[in-house]
Amino acid sequence: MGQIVSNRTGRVKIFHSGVYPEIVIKAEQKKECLIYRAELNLDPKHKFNDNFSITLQAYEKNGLAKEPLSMGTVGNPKDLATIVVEDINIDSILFRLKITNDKNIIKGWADQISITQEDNLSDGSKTTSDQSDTILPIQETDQINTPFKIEMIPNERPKLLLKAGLNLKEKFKREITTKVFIYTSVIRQILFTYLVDEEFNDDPKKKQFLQKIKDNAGGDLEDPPEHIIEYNKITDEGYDWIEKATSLSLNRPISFNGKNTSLMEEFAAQCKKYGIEDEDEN
Amino acid sequence: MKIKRFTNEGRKEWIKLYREIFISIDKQTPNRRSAKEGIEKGYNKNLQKKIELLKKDNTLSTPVDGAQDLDLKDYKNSYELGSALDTSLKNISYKDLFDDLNLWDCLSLNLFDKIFVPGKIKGFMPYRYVVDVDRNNSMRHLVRGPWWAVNRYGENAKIFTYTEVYQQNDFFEQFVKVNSLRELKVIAEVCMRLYFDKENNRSIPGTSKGTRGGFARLRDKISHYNKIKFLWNMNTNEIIDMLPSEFDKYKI
Repeated sequence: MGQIVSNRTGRVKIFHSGVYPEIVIKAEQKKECLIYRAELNLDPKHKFNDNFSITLQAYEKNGLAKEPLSMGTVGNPKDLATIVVEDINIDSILFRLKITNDKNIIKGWADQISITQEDNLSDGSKTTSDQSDTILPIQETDQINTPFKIEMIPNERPKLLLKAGLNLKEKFKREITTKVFIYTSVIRQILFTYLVDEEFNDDPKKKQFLQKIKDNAGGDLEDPPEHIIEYNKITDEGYDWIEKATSLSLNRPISFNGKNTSLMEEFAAQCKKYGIEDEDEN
Repeated sequence: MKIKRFTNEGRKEWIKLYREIFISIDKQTPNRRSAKEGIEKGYNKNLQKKIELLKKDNTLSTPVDGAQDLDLKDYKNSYELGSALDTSLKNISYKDLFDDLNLWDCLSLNLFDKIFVPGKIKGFMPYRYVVDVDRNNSMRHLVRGPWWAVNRYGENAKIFTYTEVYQQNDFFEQFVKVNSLRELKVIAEVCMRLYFDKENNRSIPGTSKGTRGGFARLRDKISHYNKIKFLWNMNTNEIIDMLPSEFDKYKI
């Protein structure tokens, strides 16, 4: 269960994706280092004081973090140009933006900001295809030690990571039982995270994902309950909604081998094959 | 000692051999939490011989360009080992070293008699000797972990490396998993100031656990402060001063 954090200091989230991102970061991978530049376009609706300080920090998920760099103040912001980072690769670099008042209290923040994709000068080494239509992109990686894992980063689509070198991607595509086991687990986990983790509160990808789940349910799924957490526990109503959404996703009609069926129906048919045993010869 | 890196084939052989060692010990160990006897029995003469043969096989490793010879001695603790490695590897970039699994595992083989000591070690999980890239295990490697701690935190790494070279360090294991602690070098200094007993060169007993004002509480408080205050602008004293009264007994 995630920790519930109140917001008495009134910090607000800065948008770094969508149509009008408030910060845009572009980067280029050189042989020995990475060079990035960052442009700010803070939304005046936040009503930050002019003397609030702005800093940008490059870091690596589960790795190291560089010293934050000043981007001036809200009243006098300055873009960053040609910043050199030697020990983080373009594939793993992320950024944090912090806006602080004169008492060092955080008034605005953005985390897990990735490099803006459209105008990157890189050779496209990022492997996720954010342009594709699927709500759950799949990526093989040797950086996990379980058969599969869900990676969730605010403002990005959830990604299904499959252990590389095991032909799991093929198994996932071809074997209905593998697909259903993995889907059941990951849909539950994604829904749980989206509904409970406040980091995703304003995430447009969350809205897209939930809408897709509702579309798949063909009108049989209502909106998630408003109060999902009570007394530091997820409510029964919350659990029920997640189970219903997962179940409806698996029972969605699909066309498979020329017939109209669902993942759950095909899964059941596959499983039942194992129940057909030879007669006892004795 | 010359610092070498495995070839890809060499690392495969190392993984295979350590797996064999692990299985042999595991067969002799009814309870993995109490493995001392099983380790002594399982790491038999045949496996010891295989370790020596792999060490001598020059076709499976190559010298590391830019590395200085490692000052090989009886390291008093992991801090000494980490410091010696950091000195030997100082001319190679962090980026090149961090993910060089062939390097860390070759060092693991060549330092095996120091980090795998039957009769003294209590654990034998593979991640101690073969780098496991999973986030929860990657720093549990008994060679790579101390190097990383010293490389990142310098003298303040002592709180994470005061233990014997064949032991894992409870503080380090807990510290390294939490982004807000690991990234801020100043937090390592906070830990040193609060929980390190300089006279005895070790942590104050019990502080790595969930006692009042102990490390688990520090972790919670720093995660909380990190959401409210910009800790990167603060020094050690300022952070220590912010901590509530339950930490007072350690602030002295």
